[in-house]
Amino acid sequence: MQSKRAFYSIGLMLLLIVVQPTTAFSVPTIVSDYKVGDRLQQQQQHSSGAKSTFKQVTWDDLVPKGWDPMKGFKKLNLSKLKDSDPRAQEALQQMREAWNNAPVEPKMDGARIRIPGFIVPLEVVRHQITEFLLVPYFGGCIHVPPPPSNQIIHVFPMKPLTDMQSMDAVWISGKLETYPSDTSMGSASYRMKAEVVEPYKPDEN
Amino acid sequence: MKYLLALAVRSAWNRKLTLGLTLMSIALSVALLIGVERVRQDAQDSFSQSVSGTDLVVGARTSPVQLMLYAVFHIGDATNNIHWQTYKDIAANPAVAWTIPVSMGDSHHGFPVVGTTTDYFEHFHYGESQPLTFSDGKPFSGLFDAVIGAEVAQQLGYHLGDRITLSHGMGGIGLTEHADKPFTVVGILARTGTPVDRTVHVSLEAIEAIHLDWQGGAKIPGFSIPAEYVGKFDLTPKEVTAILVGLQSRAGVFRMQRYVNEYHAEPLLAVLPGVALDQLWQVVGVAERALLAVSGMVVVVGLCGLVAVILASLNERRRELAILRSVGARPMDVFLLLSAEGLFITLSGTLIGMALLTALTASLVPLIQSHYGLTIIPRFISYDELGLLGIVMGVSLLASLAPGYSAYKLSLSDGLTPRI
Repeated sequence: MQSKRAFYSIGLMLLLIVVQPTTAFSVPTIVSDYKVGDRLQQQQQHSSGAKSTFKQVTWDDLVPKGWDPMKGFKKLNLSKLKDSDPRAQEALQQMREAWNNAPVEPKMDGARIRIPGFIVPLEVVRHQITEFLLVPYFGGCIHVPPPPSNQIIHVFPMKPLTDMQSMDAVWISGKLETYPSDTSMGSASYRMKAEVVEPYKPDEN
Repeated sequence: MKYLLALAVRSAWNRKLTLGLTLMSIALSVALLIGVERVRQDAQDSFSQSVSGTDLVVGARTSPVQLMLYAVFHIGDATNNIHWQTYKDIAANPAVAWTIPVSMGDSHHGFPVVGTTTDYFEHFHYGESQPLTFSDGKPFSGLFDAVIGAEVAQQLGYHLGDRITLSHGMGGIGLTEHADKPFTVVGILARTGTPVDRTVHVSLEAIEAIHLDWQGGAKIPGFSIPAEYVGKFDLTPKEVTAILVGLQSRAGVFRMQRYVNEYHAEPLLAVLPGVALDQLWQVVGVAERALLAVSGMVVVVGLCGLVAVILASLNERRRELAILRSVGARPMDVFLLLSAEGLFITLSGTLIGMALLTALTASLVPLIQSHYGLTIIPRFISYDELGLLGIVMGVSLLASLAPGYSAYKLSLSDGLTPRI
C-alpha cells in the first residue's frame, strides 16, 4: 500500500518534469515554413465583419494598368538576339531602369485596402516594430534585383508590433497613400498608416 | 477554514528548518529563472536601442551580423577597410540623404576610439529617434580634439580641456601609445545607454595624423613626426571602416542595398540594421533557449525538493493528521491543509526570490554597466515575467497536490495504530 502511494507520487513528479519543459518553456521556433521567393496565397474575395471596410487587393493591383516595362523594345525581336549582342545588353539595362522607375497606380491613393506580405523591420524599439517595409515575397533573393518600388509598402503601424520579426507574414489594413516619382522623395512609393496588422493565416477567408 | 489555515501555519512553523531550506531553494531558483529572462531581454533591448533612423550599414564584405557588431556596437574587429573613393561614391548617390563614415581600430584605456565627421553628432540617432546631445562642450573642430561618451568621462574622471593619449590597437592599457600626439577633450556627450557612452570620438583626419609615422605597422625608432608638423601632410582619409547611411526614401532601401552589394570597384556589404539584428537573435536564440531551459529545470528541481520534503514529513505527521481527523477534520480538510502548505511555500519563495533579484540587480547595475556595457533596469516585476511566474505557481499547485493526495488516502486508523 505504502509503496503504491509512493509510486503514484513519483510518477506525478516525473510527469511534471517531462511535461513542463515542453509546455511552459516552449518558445517560438525560428524555423519558418516559407522558402525564399514564396508568395502568400490570396483569394480574391471580400471577407466579412470588421474587415469589410477594407478592400482586399493583390500586389498586382499596385502596378498601374497598362504599364509595360517592355514597351521600349517592342520593335526589337528579342528571340533573334544573341546574349552577347550589345543591343540585348542595352535592352536588359533599359528594362532594369524601367523597373527601377516603376510608377505607382494613382487610383490607389487614399484607397482603404487589405493586403498580405512579409515584414522587413526598419525601426525596432524595445522589441516593438514601429516602422517596416511590406514586400510581396519571402527572403532576400540575391539572384535577381529587389522588388521594384511599386511592390514595396512603407508601413507605419498605429500600434507598434510585438512578437514579430523579419520575414513574418502578416495582413495589413489601412489607407494607402501614393508618392509619385516627381516628388522630392525620389522614386515613387506607397505608404500606409496601418490600422490593423495581424498574423497571416493561409486558411483565412 | 480559518482554523485550518492557522493550523497549517503553526504546523509549518514547527518544521521551520526543513521548510525554510526548501523555501530558500525555491527563492533562488525563481531568482535564477527570472534573472536569466531579464538579462536576455535587457541585452536585446539595449542592442535594439543602439541605432535608429539608419537605413543601411555599409562595410567590407563579411557576415551581416559581424558588420553590425563592429560598426554599431564596437564588438569584434573589422575584416577590412573600404576606400575613401567608395565612401565618396556612396555619399554622392542621389538616393542618399546623409552618411556617417566611421574609422575604428584604436582605443583609449580599453574604450574604442571612433574616427568620424561632425555629421555623426547631427545624424546619429538612438532609441526612439533621439539625437545625440552634449552634456558639456561642443563637437570637435580642431585636428586633435576629442568628444567622449558619458561612461568614458565618468569612469576616467575626464573634464573639458583634459589631455588624453590614444593607444594603437584594442588592448586594455596599450603599450604602444600615440603619446606624441595628445588629444584635448572638447565635448562630453549626454548618457544614452548605448555603445556611444563608451566611445571616444575624433575626426577622420586625426586618425590619419596619428598614424602618419606608423606606415611600417609599428613605430619606426628615430622616425617620428611631431604634432605641430602633421598639418603639412595630406590628411585626407584614405580608408574608413564602415558607413552608416540614411536614405531620402526608406522604401528605396533594397535598391540602394543592391547598388552597394554590386559595387564594382571593391567588394562591399550593405545590411539593414533591423534585419541584421533579427539574424543576431536567431544565432543567439539557441543559447538563450538552452539557458532558459536549464533555469527552468532548476525551478523543477526546487519544486521536486518541496514535494519530497512534504512527502517525507507525512510519516512524522501521521499522528498529527490522525488527531486532526479524530477531532472532526474531513479527509478533504487534510488534503487542503497539505496542498495549501506547498502552495504557500512556493508563493513566499517566489516573492523572496523576486525581492532577492531586485536587490541584487540594483546593487550590481553599475558593475554590469561598466564591465559588459549592458544596461539592466532594476525593477521588481514586469508584465512579461508575470506569465513565467504564473507557470511556476501553476506547476507548484500541481506538485503540492501530490502530498495532499497521499494524506487524503491515509486512513484514520492508520495514524492511530502504533506500529513497531
